[in-house]
Amino acid sequence: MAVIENHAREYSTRILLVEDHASFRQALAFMFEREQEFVVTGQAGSLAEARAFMRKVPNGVDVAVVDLALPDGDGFELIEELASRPDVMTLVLSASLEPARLARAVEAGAAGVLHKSAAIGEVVEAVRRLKSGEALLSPAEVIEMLRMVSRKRQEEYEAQRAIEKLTPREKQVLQALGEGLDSKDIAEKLHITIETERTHMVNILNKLDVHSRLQALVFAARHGLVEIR
Amino acid sequence: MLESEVFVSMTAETGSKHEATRGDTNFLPKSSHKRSKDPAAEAASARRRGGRTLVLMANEPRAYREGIAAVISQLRPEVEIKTVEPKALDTSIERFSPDMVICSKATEALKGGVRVWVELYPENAALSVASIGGRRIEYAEIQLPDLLSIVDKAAELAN
Repeated sequence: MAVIENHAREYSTRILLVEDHASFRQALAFMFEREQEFVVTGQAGSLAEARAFMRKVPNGVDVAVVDLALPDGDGFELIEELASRPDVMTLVLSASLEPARLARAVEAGAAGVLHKSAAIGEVVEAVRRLKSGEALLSPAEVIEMLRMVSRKRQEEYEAQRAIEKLTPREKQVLQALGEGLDSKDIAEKLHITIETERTHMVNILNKLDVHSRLQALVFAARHGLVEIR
Repeated sequence: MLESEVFVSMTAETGSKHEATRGDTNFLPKSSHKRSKDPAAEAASARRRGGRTLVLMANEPRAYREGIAAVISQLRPEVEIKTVEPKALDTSIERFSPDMVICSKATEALKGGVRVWVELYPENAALSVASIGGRRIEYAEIQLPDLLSIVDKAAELAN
């Protein structure tokens, strides 16, 4: 898929579309192009294509409309790169319903986030508002989103600290739990007594700061410690 | 490198260009008079006598549905477009007897009742699937001109 360039009309808002679903990206380009005030200067289907466009036409964009889920990675780094250019604003247009992902996009420097369930007219209007200097997010919304990212990062840090405290044997017990084994089966599998298995489990619950085997399993699965089979 | 202004003007006449890349089109019936005489087909036939092919759009997310519908509407003004929520797909097929459907998940009612349909980005994946007169075509990266080409084929089948 080629990067598509276009020469900007004078006094137009120049738009870069970064979206891997080509038929939608092309439809979006069409929607912008039919408005006199917009010109789509570039279309890219991946991070690599977007970066190639920005290298080739470094001053060719006023507003970038960026999807988060791209074939060669998340759009966060690209948003950061675009945010380093003071004359470029980024509107994230994502299918993600995870508030934490949208919040992370704002932290990376996105000036606005829209879900793809928005009306197409809202997308066009959002770009218009951004270019006119209007904020799409209130200061309170931005603060809340940044707090969310911060909380998430702190949780992740604490989880990693807890995981580091687990011994190799305790990780084996957790993995066996992920395989659906009960205390007796875990003891058999690891050639230990049931009492020892229970001791390991108590230690795991304490270290992970959870209160049940199920919670320990959820924690371990969420942080990639075990594979649920 | 293509220029998007060129692209936009190209899409208006792109159907035939993309048909050429899709190979043999002899599988397409030459007329619609062989279609069944069930009530839905009769209703569709009656509407076609009004001269317009009906494309029903029930895909998600909404921005895709509305954006693609707007383009088809502008570049194929002879085609009637209806947009509905995905959950209303089956009832809308029964109600409108569309000549073509674009959706995110093909249902049994769709497969059994509509000759031309496109399953566009099912579960947000890149792969799309089209069925044109019973022939299945997979698109690794479907383009807007491909969709317009399929609309043209649906109109050809309907008339």
